[in-house]
Amino acid sequence: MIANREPNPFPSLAEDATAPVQESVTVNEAAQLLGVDSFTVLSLIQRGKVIPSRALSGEITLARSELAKLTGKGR
Amino acid sequence: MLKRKGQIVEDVASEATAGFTHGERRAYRTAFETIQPEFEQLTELKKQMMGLRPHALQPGADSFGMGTVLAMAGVEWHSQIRLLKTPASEIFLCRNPLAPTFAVIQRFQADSPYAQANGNAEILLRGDDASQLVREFAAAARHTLRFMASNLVAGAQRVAWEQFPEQNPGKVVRAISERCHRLVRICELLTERESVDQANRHVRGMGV
Repeated sequence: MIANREPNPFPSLAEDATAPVQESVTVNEAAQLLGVDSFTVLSLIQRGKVIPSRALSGEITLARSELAKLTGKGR
Repeated sequence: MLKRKGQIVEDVASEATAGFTHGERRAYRTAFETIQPEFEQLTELKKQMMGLRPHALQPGADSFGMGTVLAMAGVEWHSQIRLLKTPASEIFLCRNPLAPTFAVIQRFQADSPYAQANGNAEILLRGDDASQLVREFAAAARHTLRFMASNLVAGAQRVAWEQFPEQNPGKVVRAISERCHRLVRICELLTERESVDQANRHVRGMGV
């Protein structure tokens, strides 16, 4: 029923087949790469240890360059 | 099986999706399943925050008992209370035995890439008032739980819109959002008072 449909706020999510190689990771992925957990990653963001970005959906993401700061590889 | 107030999760989900069509319910289930592992973490952390009472405090993890010494910043900190156990770390209130100073210290798994780059423990807060430190820690942890809940909703939102654009995704996401934020709200109502009481009792017990 078209009348019930809401406008899709993320039209590019399903349509962009030419997206570049992933330059950022989700909080969960960051936690796995760092060997910590999501709570700790979000706490590090809140303490300003790393600068987050947001995906179109509103999800927090971390650029790989930011992640490197936490593993000593970006220093 | 994940339970909430003695009900299995399916019952909680049924309550959240009352009045949903079959398709909306399917969208809800699929979107929620993608965040379920972290929702369970959030549930467990909330439970610990609500249980921060002296009689409920457990000795440290097997590898890190109470009184363990952590040498950091030129001080040998002695752990006193475990404030929180996250899936990959533990957070303790520690005391400097040589001076009336305290610190909230997070200990990581020693073999994790983060610990190898930054050390296996980190001082989160430091001061001479243990009560105040615990209060500050509890406030920061609640803030992180809220942040975690919002991020979970955003993750579910992506799935709902990508996979179920025809199934009223806004309605589905609102139901998931309500479930996530209700979990954190309950925690906020109860923990602040308890954290302060705990710290006051513990500090009195230490003769500070």
